[in-house]
Amino acid sequence: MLGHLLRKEILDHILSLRFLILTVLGASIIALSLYSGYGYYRDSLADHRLSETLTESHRAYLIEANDMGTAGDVGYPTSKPPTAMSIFVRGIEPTLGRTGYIAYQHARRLKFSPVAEEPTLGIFPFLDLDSVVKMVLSLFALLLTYDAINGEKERGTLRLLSSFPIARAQVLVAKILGALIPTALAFGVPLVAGIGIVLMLPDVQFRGPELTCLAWIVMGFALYLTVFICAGIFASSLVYREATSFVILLFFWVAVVAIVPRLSLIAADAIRPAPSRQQLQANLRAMSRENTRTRFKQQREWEDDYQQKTGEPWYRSPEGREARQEMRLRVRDAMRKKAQPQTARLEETFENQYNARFDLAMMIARMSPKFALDQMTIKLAGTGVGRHKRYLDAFDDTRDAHGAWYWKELNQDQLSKANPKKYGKYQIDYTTVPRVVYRDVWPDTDLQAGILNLGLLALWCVLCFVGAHVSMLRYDLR
Amino acid sequence: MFGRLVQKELTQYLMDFRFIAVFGLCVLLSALSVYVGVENYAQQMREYQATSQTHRQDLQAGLDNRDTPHRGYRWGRRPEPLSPLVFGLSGKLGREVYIQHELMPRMEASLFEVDPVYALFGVLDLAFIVKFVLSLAVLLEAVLKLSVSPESEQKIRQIGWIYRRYGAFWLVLGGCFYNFSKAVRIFKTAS
Repeated sequence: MLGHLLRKEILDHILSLRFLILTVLGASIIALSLYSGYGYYRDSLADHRLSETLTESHRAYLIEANDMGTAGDVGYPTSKPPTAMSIFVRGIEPTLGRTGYIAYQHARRLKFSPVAEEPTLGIFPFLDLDSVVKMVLSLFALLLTYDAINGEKERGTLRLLSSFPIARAQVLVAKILGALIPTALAFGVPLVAGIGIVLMLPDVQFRGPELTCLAWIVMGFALYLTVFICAGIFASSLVYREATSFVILLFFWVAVVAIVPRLSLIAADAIRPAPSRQQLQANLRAMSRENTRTRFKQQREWEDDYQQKTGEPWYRSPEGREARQEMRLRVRDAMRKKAQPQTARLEETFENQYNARFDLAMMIARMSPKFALDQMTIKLAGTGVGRHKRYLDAFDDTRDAHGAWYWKELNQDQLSKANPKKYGKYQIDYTTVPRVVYRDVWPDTDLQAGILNLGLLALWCVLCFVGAHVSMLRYDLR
Repeated sequence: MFGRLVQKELTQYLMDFRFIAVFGLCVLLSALSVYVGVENYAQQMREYQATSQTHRQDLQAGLDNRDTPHRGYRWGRRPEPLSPLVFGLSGKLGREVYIQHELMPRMEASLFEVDPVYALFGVLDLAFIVKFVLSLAVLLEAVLKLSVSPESEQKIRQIGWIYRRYGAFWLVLGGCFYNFSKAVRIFKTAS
């Protein structure tokens, strides 16, 4: 009997005009989103290649011009490579910086995000596959199911259905599967076909881990749509009129898709306030300025002392210049040793407050299935903060190495200039300027977080199903 | 007669519990969005003033040492006074510019670049409430109003169809415009 019921439900959906329109529309939007995603990735790749060329030309300039000032103060630009996963999930990648300068005195920060560079991208919202599933297909799933039970009651067929020897739970299962299978076919086939075509395109090279992540993402999409199908059936079994279930579902959709994620940060801010990153940077900058001032003061004091002791300024003799260079290094190292714990303390205090607020906001926001899916897809696609931080770490290591290189070479150069007889002529080797070494990795922690979010989506499905089941048990079928 | 009809409709709306509930929700969300917007604006202003002070000091120090042309200096963008109502691109566009004679001035350090949490969670402003919540409330009121009449089912379907068609139209138009803007950008770059 369940089989018959399931067949009837599937045929009901497939033969309706509503389903046909939604399928055509869904398939077109999926195709459009993949086309747009590929366009975005191709542009990002072209920009990245251009900036790589710029990096090489900067490095060539340093070697050619023997310009230690530029090497130390300005450095050379480096750019974060785009990920091919951004074709499917754009995430917050367009708002994150992608260019940084490798120089010891620049902040640990990437600048010039695509949106900041091209505000047109910000004015028009992105149409990526992720947003299509989250915003459009979820709405379509609701439109397919908002009248599943009460529609039959209004048409008078529910009474006939209940006259058959079948349990109410089975009716519910048939309704859910009857909506799920056509939806999976209608949106799954164009999705899989689209992904297949994208994978064959030039510039898109996926390896094993990326394909695994993509499979998890597609699974997340399927579970997300199942949540909305279950919610649709729950609402339709909760009330007797189609219009009322439609109203309830639209409110539910707006609440979980648009309101809850935004409110969560506000609520977390009110409960656990945290300073902003700009405040931290301002504090760090103020501390650095104070340290520089102290360093210059100590240097001036040493110069005065030297003049008093020897009776002549330090720059008159090679010994004086050498001694001053050694003193500069000594003072700099001492200041750095003094500043390190202060910086670490400031950063730790900030990170504690910031992470407490962030964790609370995440906990509240995860009540929304949309945010749970967001978290999962963005993490797995590497278009969020995780991959950005991994690149920043590589950037930071190179920046530190650049600092070490700069001070070593500068010291040798200054000593040789201060006392050429003793140290001889020194030639700075610009070819050894450190490069950023970054390889995309797909850590297991991201996959674990993805599975956790998948579990939350499954929990939503179960809750909606249980709700629908309880409502169905109390439903007046007459 | 027309006046009476309007009066009847208005009274029906105003006395309806559903209207009061939706109205209350909208007022609450609008007030919350404006409050949060004002708080954010005040914080951004404080940060702007603090960074402006730092920039001024840096510039003065550079002028004193006569190395401003070489080292350059930074300058900040003031937060927009209407951003509590419409946040728009405020979070996406750079808030600082680095001015140095050898480099092209480019805005950097946007709110979302510095703190991606805001991009992750999204910003709740009044424009968002109007676009999402109020428009939905109006739509629902219209649907429910029509659903009272005997030919409700047909009308609801019509409304749903109109809504879907409207949504699809904007999606397609948005996609076309996006790709058109891309094409213009590529053309500009190429030329």
